Amino acid sequence: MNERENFEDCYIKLANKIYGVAYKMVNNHQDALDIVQEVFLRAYKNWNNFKGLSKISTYLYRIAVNLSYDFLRKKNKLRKVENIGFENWSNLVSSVKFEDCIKDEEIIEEIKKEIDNLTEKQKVIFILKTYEELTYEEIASILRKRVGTIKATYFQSLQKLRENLKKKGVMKNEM
Amino acid sequence: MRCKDFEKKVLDFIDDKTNILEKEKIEQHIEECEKCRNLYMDFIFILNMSKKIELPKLSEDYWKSSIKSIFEEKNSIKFLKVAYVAVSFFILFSITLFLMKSNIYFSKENVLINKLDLLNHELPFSEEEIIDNVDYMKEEEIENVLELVFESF
Ligand SMILES: [Zn+2]
Repeated sequence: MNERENFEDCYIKLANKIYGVAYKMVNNHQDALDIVQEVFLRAYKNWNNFKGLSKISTYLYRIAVNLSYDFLRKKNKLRKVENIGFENWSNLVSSVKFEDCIKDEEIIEEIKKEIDNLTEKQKVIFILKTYEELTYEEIASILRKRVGTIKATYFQSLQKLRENLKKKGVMKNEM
Repeated sequence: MRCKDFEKKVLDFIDDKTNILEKEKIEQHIEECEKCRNLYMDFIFILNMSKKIELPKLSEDYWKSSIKSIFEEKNSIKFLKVAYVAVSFFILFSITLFLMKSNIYFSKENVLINKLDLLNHELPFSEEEIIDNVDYMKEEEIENVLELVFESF
């Protein structure tokens, strides 16, 4: 296999995965495609350093995550979740027990919004764990963080999603 | 099992990564403690629902065709690098010529020898090798080389 074939092979195998992460990070098809393009362009430029690595995917994920962060920062899409004034409204809806009467699609839509409301760290860990089904160790090496930190942050992200979905009445309110 | 311990273990339990002993304790706690049972069921619910978020479908053919644009973009960068090298060589050549001409005033024989030297001297790298090597250089590195060349003027 020559260099180009080697790269092509890697691209075909991993582009869709990288796209998946980018899409969930930036929530937009075209922007995600741009990120995939940039990730692989950077990888190809440095292919000589890349091709010897045992886990190329780790590095591609890392570039994808960084580019997604950059993108989101530029687009100013990152919001800190401060649900001030949410409390009263949510108590009102929760008594209606929304969960029983809303459809799956609506729940999924709400979850999507809440994933977007996570902090960037929580969001990326949630995406890599839930969708890419990476292990905590793999995520730790992608993000260069300790395994314990990754695990704790993943727990936090689930807790936060749970809380916010309850506030919205998407899930029952018993805690 | 205390609730705090349950919280520490619940993620591994969901991943089915607890040993049999732990698993039994956790299952027992889920049965006994309503608060932790709710937490566990909510996590499962969120994860199942999250997994239903769909991505736009992209086929392997799509990726196969999209790879071309990467190679094209890479080539345009390669072209730039070749241009950089061409300019560097031109500058180096000019310096050599300039030095050779200044030699004329000292000795005509020297110039002849120099010229013969230049003709007989084999370049250590073929043009292809140079371009290949340049490819491994980062753009900043090329810029540094250029800077050095300019400084020597
Ligand atoms: Zn408990």
